[in-house]
This record gives sequence, structure tokens and C-alpha cells, in this order.
Amino acid sequence: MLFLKFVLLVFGTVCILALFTYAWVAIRTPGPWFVGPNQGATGIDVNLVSALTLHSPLYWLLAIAILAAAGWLCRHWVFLA
Amino acid sequence: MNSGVLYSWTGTGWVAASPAPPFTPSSAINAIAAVGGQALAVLDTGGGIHVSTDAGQTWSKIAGTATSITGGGVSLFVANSSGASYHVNLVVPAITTTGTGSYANFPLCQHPPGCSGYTHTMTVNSKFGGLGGAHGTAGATNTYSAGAAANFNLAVTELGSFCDPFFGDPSDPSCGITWDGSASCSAMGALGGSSGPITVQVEDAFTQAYWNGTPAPICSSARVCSYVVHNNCTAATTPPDLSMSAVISSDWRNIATYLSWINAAGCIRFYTSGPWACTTPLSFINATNIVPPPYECTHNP
Repeated sequence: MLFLKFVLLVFGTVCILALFTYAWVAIRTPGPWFVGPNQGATGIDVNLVSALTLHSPLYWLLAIAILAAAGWLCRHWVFLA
Repeated sequence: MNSGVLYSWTGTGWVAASPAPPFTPSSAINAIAAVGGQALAVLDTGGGIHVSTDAGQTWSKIAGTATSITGGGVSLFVANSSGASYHVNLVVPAITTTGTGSYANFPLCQHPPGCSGYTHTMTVNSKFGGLGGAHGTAGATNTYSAGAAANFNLAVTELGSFCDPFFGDPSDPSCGITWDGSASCSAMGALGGSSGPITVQVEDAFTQAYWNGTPAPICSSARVCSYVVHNNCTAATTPPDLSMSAVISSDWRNIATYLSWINAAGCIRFYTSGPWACTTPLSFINATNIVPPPYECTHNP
């Protein structure tokens, strides 16, 4: 059970980090975040993702906050529960 | 009922019903039926079926003929000369679709008094599945056109003539309802619409798009460039669910004159047909300076 909880937590953290990164990149680029039915969409080249994230201190701050939350959850929910 | 005359009980004796029914009641056995104090059903001498819901004050003749009758209201049954019995469905479900609004409801046409000089058209439709309703499988439709500044207030009702919710199968397709409404402008085409029952559909959409060297990309000082792109899908998958207009990418100036991307996004719509709304796509470059063949884009109109 402890192992399953740990795997679930790691999987959830990876998913949240991926979604956060996607949201971060979408916000940083021009055009609407959600494209309506009669609008042309503006895509983001995945090669730009690293350039839009790795050089931003705020991105790292938020990413570390997510990792810290995951660490707190790991301690209290996985190992101390 | 005697000698073709319908009688009613006064509490002390029988008197000819007043007002007299507008038909000649049959004197045959089982030619009259009643439920409660109001619902009456009477056969005439030709087998025609007449029903009243106000103790004989008013009568309605319903389609078909019968040789005997029993019950009343929602539980009216008749038999034909062969002895086959039928439930006469006097209470059927109905669906009413309404459409209201004016030019001010349409984001693209909010300049009073609307698209001046042009016509707006609103259409509403109600229909039942299976065998359809009183207006057949296409249902009932109401269409109204007026000047662009007009206010619209439309309604249409369809009766589920083939749906018997009391003695039939409520899950019969003929009891299933569908509604639809749309509005259009003579100058701008479709303005919007909705239909039901509401369902939610979600998909991963993929579209190939290209930049062919023109117009020149718009680049920032960080050398992040915006390229105007065009969809590159096969004829069978055009238009794609995800339609591209631009891609944000690296600075390819002096390196490439043709770029192609496969763009992926999550899309959602709230009906079983119509356009999709999509998230910001992620773009994967799949060709530089080489023209790839049209792509089988995601296409679910």
C-alpha cells in the first residue's frame, strides 16, 4: 500500500508539473488560451518550451513550490499515515 | 343510451343529455364508456370515436373506428370488428422549442441597429425519434426572417403521436426528443445555434500546417517568431477540427523557406455535430524546406 501511494504521488506530481508547464507556455504566448470554434489557433512549437520556461525565475519558483507540496504530501500521506 | 339518444343521470332520473352530442350515438352494446364524472367516450352509428373531457359539454372526434369501447382519458381502449383491442392514446408527450433574441445577442453583430440593410433568420425545430411525431420524422419547424434590428421570439411544438407513455414503452425511440435552433444573417452567414439533447464530445485533434516563406515571420528580440500558417490536410479531412492560423517557433529566417508542423490540441464540443473549441495547440515540426504530402487531419464534422 505504501508503495502504491508513492507511485500514485509521483505520477500525480509529474502530471501536475506537465500541466503547469503547458499552462505557463500557453499564457506566455500571444493568442487566446482556448480557441473558439470559428477562430484559427496559434500553436506553440515544442522546441520553444524550454526557452520559455528554463530561463524564467518565476517558473522555477512555482515549479519548486509544486515539488515542495508533493514532498509534504509524501511525508504526511505516504509515510506518516 | 337508447334509440340513438344519449341520456344523463340527474340523481333522480334519466334525461336526454344537454347539449345533445353533435353525432348520432350507436345503440350497440359497449358503445359508451366513462371514467370518473368527466371523461366520456361514445361510438357513433358509423363506428366513429367521440370523446369528451367535460361530461359531454364538448366533444372531439378522433381518428379511426371501433365496434366497442371501454375506459376513458388516458386509459381508453377500443376493439375493432375482429376483436383486436387497441389503446387510444389521448395523452401524448409534446416538446416545445423556443428561440429568442436580437442582434445584440450575437458578438459579431453588436452595432445597433444590427447589420443594417440585411436580414436575420431564426429557425427552431422540435421532433421525436423513431416513427416521428405529428409532423413526421422531420418534426415541426418554425422559421422567421426579419430586418437585422428585429427582436425574435419563436416557438414550435411537436406532438409525440407515436409515443404511448402509459401503455407503451417509454424507452421507444418514438418517445425520444430532439430540439434544434439556429440563427443566421444574410450578410454574415450563421450567427449561432444550439441543439439537443446536449452531449459532450472530447477528442485529440491533429492538423498539419505549413509556412511557405511568406509573409515574413514577426520576431521578438529573444528571436521567438510568429509564423502565419495554412492547414495542409487531405481533401477528405478538410476542414480540420483544429484550424491553424499561426505557430510560435524559433527564428528560422535565413535557414528555411518552408516549414511544416503537426499541431496537436484537445478539443471539446457540447453537441454531436458542429465546430470544436480547442486548447492552445502544441506544434511539432515535421519538415523544413521539404513539402510533405497532405495529412489525414482529425475531421469529425
